[in-house]
Amino acid sequence: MSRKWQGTAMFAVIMAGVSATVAGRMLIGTGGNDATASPTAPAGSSSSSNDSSGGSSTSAGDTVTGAVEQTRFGAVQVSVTFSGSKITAVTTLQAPSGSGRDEMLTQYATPLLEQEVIASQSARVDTISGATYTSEGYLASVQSALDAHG
Amino acid sequence: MKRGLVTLLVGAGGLAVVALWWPSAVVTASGSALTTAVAELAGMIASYLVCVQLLLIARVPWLERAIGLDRLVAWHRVVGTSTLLLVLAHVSLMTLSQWISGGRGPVGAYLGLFDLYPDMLTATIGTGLVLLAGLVSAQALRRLLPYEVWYWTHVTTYVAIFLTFLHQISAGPVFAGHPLARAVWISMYAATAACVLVWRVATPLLRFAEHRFEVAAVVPESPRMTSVWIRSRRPELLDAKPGQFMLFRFLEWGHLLTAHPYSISNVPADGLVRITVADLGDHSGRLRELRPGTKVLLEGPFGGFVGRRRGGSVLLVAGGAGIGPIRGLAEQFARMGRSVVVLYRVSRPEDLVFYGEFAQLPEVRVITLVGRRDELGFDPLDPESIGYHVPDAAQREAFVCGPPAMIERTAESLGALGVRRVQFEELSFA
Amino acid sequence: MNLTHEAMGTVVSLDLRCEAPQSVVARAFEIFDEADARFSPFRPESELARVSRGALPRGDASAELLEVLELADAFDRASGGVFSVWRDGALDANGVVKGWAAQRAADALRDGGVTDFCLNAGGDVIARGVPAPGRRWQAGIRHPEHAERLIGVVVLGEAALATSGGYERGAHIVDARTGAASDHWSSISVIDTDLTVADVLATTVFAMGADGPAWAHEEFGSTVIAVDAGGGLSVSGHVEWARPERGLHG
Repeated sequence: MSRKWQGTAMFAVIMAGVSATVAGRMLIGTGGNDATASPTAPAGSSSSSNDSSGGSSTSAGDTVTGAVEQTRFGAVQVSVTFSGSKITAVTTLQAPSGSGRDEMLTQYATPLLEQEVIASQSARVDTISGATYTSEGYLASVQSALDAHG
Repeated sequence: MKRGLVTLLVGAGGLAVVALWWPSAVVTASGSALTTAVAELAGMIASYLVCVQLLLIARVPWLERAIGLDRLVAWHRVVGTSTLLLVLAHVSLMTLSQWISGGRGPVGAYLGLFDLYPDMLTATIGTGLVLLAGLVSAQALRRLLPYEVWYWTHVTTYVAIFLTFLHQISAGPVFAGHPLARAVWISMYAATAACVLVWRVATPLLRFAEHRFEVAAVVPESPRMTSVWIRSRRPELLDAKPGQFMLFRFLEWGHLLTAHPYSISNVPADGLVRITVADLGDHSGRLRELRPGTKVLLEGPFGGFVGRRRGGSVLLVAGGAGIGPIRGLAEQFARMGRSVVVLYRVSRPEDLVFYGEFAQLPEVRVITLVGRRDELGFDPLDPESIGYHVPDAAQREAFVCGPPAMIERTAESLGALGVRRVQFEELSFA
Repeated sequence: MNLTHEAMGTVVSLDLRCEAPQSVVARAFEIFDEADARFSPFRPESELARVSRGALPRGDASAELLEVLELADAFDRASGGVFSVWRDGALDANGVVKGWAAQRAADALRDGGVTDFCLNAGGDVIARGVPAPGRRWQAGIRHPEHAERLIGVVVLGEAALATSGGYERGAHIVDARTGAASDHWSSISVIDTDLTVADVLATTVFAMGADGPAWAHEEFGSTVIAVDAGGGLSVSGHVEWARPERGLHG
């Protein structure tokens, strides 16, 4: 082919490859993400791919909905990984369909969320929610300490 | 084949970029998510190709030896076109994605990107510069503009690359929050920058420090052709061969800002290198004004004709200013004891040069083909004519140097005559 | 002022930040005692037990019991049967009563003029007003494995928060359709405006497994903070995480 069109042809081939790669990524879903994100990373909601209510499940089977809202924008879903009792990583599982801007923001803003969740652990606590404790359990709980010291 | 190896390496690098993108990509089945993902991956590939672009013309010795400067430049042009198109695709698709999800039309969508991603202003400026450089390099426009315009818009691409680099690693989902990925990307750019600095900046300066190249003499060969002799004070380090070309940057006002490629027209000896240049109306015409003692920065040598066979006869075909490299080759082959025939094609008798020099090479047979085709009524470079002057052309190894059109015609003729081994050097190069 | 009151086998904590008439507070706690008596599956003479075994016709039951049973039916239908107050052929409304009672107690406090309080009924939280001028109520979510640690602290404001998990009381939360214990989640927290809803959803989402948070968010608009069995946390809906304060706070 003449020199002139080689550059354009190369571009076309690359774009075809990129599109195929993106399509493949969509189909394979985020399973790979969880497996490789960190050594202790478990799956977020990576189980069976049945249709959930609403239209937000992807073809990969993640039943995901909206997620942590960014103060100005929409909703994203975040997966936080524990290592022992410490949150070590925050990864995005998905963003809701139909709000691409949020998805972009999700992907960009997720690392900021990591800071938020971890930082919140040091915030002031007025009360504690947990599975119902027995009266005995209460005495040993942090809530009782809160109640005692006000 | 080295070319295949380099292509393979470039392809492998591209796959590595995809592998870097893959784990962090979150692609949902919505229009804007897919558009964003394609835009981002296309942007990453474009960025990678920018590094490939720079490496192609960084004068890396291994690449020069393996591929050759003229082919590297050709690849640079091809890759450059695709990179430019990828950048345009990246910007358009990101804008489109915003448009899909947020409405507000294309301009509003593009401006919306500024809210979402940092460093968008520098990215926009940088992209504008890159587009400008690409536009000016397009063949159609390039011919109309002076070399200096092309050169300096190209230089600003370095600035442009820096400006756009910031937004890549601060905003991409692959990079935000992933210090390892950022480190990889920064290393890629740092390594590329290092290659450019070492081989395009440092090496010529070091070479100058060694050789202290300066103009020894300026000799008008004909009304429109000028020879410039350049001396090195370290002859033993000079390894230029006839037929090769070097990039010359004369350190003199009016010549300082450009580096031009010129072919060597002698057999370099005693540290003396000669170029013989035709006045084409641009920088080449101003060589006549150079004064002896002017310092010169040299890069190269590059390219050149490499004799594929040890012995055997050669046919050298020169068109116009192509006589420069052919002159040097003729002497070199003659010294090797090979039978040399030179076909020297010019339009007018006053264009002929080197008569005296060829006279001192009696073993070189020079056949001049003078006159314009429309006046002659035939083409002296057609198969009949060449066959008449050089009956044993088919047994000779051929080297052709001249303007592109002349080379094309000569190639056809030589092919028709059964000449199997032909090498070409186009004079309007780069 | 912090008050506690034992009821329904757990402890109710009330954090008051404004003037509260003694009678109003007493009434709030009384609501728990009444609910305990009415709905306890462990007392054979409770109203629920009698309705359960057929000793009392439903038509003759109290308004409160009918209200709870209607709520339970609604949740049963909405959850496709995952939530159900029928277990082994008998009625067990524990999954809904605690939240329902706490919500009623909170309403009683508000109706009684108590503007700023945080009520915590055995881990189910409902807050109104503010803890101090310029601040909002912040609730920590207990870490499923380490009782002394928190997953994080959310800004609750004026809302309700309920958490379910398999780590207390020993009883496994089961999917009422299959009777099988659900092991996908380790902890589920639900934020909603109504504590009844939050309480039911917390156990229902838990029992539902992977689909639960999606369902809860889409059907009820609630926010779900979920920790799975492997320790991965995911959030569906709007959560504002609290920020650590600098300097002194009192």
